[in-house]
Amino acid sequence: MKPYILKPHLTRKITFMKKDDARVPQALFETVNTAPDLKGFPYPLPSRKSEYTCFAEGNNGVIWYGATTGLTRYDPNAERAEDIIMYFSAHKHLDFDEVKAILPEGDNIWVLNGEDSVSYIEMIMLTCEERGDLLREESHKYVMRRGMICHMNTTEPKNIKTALGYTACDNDGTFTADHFVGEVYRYAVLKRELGADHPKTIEARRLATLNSEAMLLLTYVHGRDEGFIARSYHVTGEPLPDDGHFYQRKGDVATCCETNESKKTGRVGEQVPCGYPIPERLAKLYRDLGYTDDDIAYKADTSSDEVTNHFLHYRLAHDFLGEEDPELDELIKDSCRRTMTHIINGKFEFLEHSGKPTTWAKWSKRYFAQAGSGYVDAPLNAAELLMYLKVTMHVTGEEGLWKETYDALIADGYAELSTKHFDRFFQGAMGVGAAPEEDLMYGDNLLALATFWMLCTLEEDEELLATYRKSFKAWSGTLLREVQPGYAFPMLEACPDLELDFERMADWFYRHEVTRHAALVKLNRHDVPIKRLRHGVEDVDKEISALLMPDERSTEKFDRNPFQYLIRHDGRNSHYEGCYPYTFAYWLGRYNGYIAEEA
Amino acid sequence: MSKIAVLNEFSIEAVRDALQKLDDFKKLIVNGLTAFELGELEKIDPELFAAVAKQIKRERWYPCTGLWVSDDKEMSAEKLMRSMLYSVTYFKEKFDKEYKVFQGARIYNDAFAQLIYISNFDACVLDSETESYWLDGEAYTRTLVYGGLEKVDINDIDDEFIKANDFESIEDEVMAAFQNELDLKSVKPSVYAGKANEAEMLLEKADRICVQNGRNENEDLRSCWLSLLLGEEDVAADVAEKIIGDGEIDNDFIRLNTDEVEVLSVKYAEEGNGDVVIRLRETAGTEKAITVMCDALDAGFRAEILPYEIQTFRIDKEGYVEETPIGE
Repeated sequence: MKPYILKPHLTRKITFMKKDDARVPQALFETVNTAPDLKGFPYPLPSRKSEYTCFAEGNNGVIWYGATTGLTRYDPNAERAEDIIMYFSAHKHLDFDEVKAILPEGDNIWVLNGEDSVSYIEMIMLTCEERGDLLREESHKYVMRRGMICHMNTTEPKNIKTALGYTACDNDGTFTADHFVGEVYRYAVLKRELGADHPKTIEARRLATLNSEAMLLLTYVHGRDEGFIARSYHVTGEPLPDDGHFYQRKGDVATCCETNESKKTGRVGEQVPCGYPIPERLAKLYRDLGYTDDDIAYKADTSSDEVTNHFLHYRLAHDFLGEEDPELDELIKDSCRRTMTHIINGKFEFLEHSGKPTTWAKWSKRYFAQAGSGYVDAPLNAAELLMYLKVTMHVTGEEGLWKETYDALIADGYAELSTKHFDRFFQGAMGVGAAPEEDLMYGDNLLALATFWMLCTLEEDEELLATYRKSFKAWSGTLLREVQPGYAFPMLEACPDLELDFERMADWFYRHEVTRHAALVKLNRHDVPIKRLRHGVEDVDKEISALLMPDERSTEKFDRNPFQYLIRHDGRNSHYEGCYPYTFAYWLGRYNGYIAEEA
Repeated sequence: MSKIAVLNEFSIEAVRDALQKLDDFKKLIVNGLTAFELGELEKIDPELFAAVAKQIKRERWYPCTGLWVSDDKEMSAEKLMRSMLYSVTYFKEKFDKEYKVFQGARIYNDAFAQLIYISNFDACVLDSETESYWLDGEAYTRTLVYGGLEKVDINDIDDEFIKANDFESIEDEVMAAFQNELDLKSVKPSVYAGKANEAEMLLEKADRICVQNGRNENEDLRSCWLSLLLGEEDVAADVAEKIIGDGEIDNDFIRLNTDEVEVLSVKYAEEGNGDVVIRLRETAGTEKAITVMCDALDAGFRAEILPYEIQTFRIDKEGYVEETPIGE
């Protein structure tokens, strides 16, 4: 297929300031407001017509409309339908929805909002690659910690320069793996286009390798000898969140810390050996910062989310980094073997040191037979286990126990079980009176994606491949309704007959901002219907009926519902997400030739 | 397996017999009577109706839910929706009940699964179907068609039979199925979509003209639709023509950004507060982002619509919009 050609596109960049800031032009305070006549206006408007209080003309026929409920940009000459009407609201673009005065300045605009807040909104022309680079720069500078990327809070709202430097994350492995996908495909593209010795390629390789090392460290940092994976780890000085099970290392023993969760499960003070050596190359990630092994508190009770994304990482790290870095490849193989062995020895359940299974990492028929979650999870979890084995064979080049186990699982109906996702998921939702999209754990979308993407690109048996493709498509309803290239592109690679609307994919890239500031936006818009969900509690569980462009909705990870009607709150003003949803999609699309930049 | 005791005959004697058996046997549960039949019973014998209503509230009598009146013919999407709408509204208003199982004779049109789903029914029981299966509709909708109920006529069973058996409502037995391991085939309906007849088209036109002209004549229109559902098409058409007068549909009243979405219905909301309901259907089989403009209602909105999806929007007096199930 020919790649879809992406062109440079306008991108929002917001600078927040107070009205006494020296940068604010005096003319902003001298404007005279006149309400616009919007009778017969040809497009849906985000604010009610009667709420608009001022307007002004900018460059190239663009008209800006200020309202008591936000700012609207109208570009009657816009090439893309999605760009004709744009909306700006608190807290992502303004401090307050109430626009008091506006002053266009070329393509940009000054906006006086609330009592004393001013937003300077720049509309800057960027290529999609440039947009990705700015997002990566923000993530690498402020969100990444010791090679891991999840999210980051700041001490000052809307000021990423005040990033805390540490964070609490339940899924460091998951989100770092997803970030790694973007980085490693970027490396592969740059290597192909610029050559292995180009400084940009070398730097891309360094960053992808750093993420890979951080991923691998999670598989050793606990010091357990049985192939466990930690969810995350903290070092001395970083506050431990009161959530989950943390083990503080000291010498050869790690002790369970006191948290609400560990008190509930009676694990406070539980001692677990931690003598298994951490490879020096990986330990450098914290030792080079002055920490020792005794400074580590790692998080246990690992879920299938983490395990699945580790196997995604094993496969891609081996394929793209392994050959040129044999030392890293050996670590990948060792970690992969240890994890797979742990799962097989645990009779397809992920075990704590005590021998008890973790809460959410179970791929056994024993779990599948459990009414409720076991029954509904079975199709995905069955496929996950098959994917782990397929990746292990691919990465290690070994068959033996891995192949025997894979074949036995196929004979036991695991592949066929994977096709039953929609039936069981739908049934489970109906059983609790909910719609499927309402009952979904949105993180499962990503797990299905990683699982079937890997299975469909590794399986050579035509019959099994057809089964996996059928199973992947059983997820279409919840995956494709997001019109998210990060879901669509891996699905296209796995199922080449899939038909995608590349114009809408392009809109998704074009309309990303250059920050992952996670402040919420105004969603009770005049131009967007609100939908009460089937089971939802009135006024709480709702969706919006239109899929807003990324720059007009809240900034989220892959594991959230983009249609969710979120009520704004100030807490999100101090929160920044990692950039992986953009870079994962962009660089995978570039690598596979689905998209390209205009020459 | 529990038996399903059904009232098949709608007569005073049959209802009295069922009520007597309910009084005599505490474990008995009765299923039957559509919204229309209950309305008739209330008019004919208010005392008997009150006795049935008491058992409905106690959940010992489960009405026949889904259609306003029993019907075994193909019908258009809009006619089926109206039948469901008036049935759902009746049970909600009269008994504060929201049932989850649609009961009917057959698959009425090719949008059936979607209509059942968006009407907030979780499953259906159809006279024509004896086996259970998933019925798939457009826009990722589906419904459980439940077969295999062991029905007995409440008027035919004797005391010995009642003593010897357990009884269950259709509603509870079908809903309990969702807790079991279901391994069912899935089927797409192939029946022809019933077309609106002349009387129905007149009613749809009357609804639209009322909204265009700001005349809320919900009561007359509702009785027209109910006449139509009862097969009294001439009565419905006559009243509709009077409401229409010399009015014509203004095609610019609602403007869409695509020809591939049709306006199925424009009407005032049932509760009569002046909100307007617009129902749309995608016709080309492609997913799209749509815009809908209605200056007269101070409304303009955007939405995602899936292939062949039917969506219903409710516009309030300030032009704010909510996407609703059809029970509006």
